[in-house]
Amino acid sequence: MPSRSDPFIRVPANLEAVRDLAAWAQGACSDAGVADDIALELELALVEAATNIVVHAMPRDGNADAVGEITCTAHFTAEAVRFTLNDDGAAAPAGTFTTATKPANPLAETGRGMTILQLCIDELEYSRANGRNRLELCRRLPAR
Amino acid sequence: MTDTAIIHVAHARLDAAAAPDFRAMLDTKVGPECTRVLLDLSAVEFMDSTGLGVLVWLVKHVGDRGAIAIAGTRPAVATLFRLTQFDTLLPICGSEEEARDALSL
Repeated sequence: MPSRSDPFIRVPANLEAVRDLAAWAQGACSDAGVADDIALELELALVEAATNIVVHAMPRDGNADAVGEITCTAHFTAEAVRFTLNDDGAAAPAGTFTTATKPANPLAETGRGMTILQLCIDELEYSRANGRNRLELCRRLPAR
Repeated sequence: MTDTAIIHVAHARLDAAAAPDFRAMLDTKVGPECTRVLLDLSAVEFMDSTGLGVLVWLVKHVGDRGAIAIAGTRPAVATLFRLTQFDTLLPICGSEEEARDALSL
């Protein structure tokens, strides 16, 4: 269960701040002793998810002045890492996070973000309540 | 402009914030007569789908007239290439020397 001592960050919803989120996630994974290869994939998943929020859910696509914020909590156990993103942007279209991963056209310049996100994590759960989006990314850890 | 471009990418992160600048830089350095592109990514610590999209644009930009080789991929970039199978599209070389060989430079 998440606790008040779990690492937490709040950033403005813009592309520059996604880098702050990534650096925070790196630090949290390092502090928790997560293996480097898994931490890299978690960072990638988190960046794809947060960029998706900034570009698609916020009023001004990618603009540094976009209104809104993203919060993220990390929860570590021996079995898994969970990042929970919350934002106050628009609701994700139905099926955004439930559509099965499909191989991307190798020559498509866009449209890989969700595929990469799904490849990097084991469970993805989206919900919306009280005008806020909640996206939980879970990556199971190998037994030590 | 020449038929060969050797580009040492200086961006530490090729993400959505950097992608427009990265693409503009490549567009400037890879002219229409360019047939061989060596891209050194050794300074790039992280790349996401947006940065990868710019590389795909470069592949199409060079097209059938030329060849591209990539050198210096760090772990995060290699992970992205593996996950997306981009490493099956282009030669990913362990060093700039290998990339030069791949392009017959």
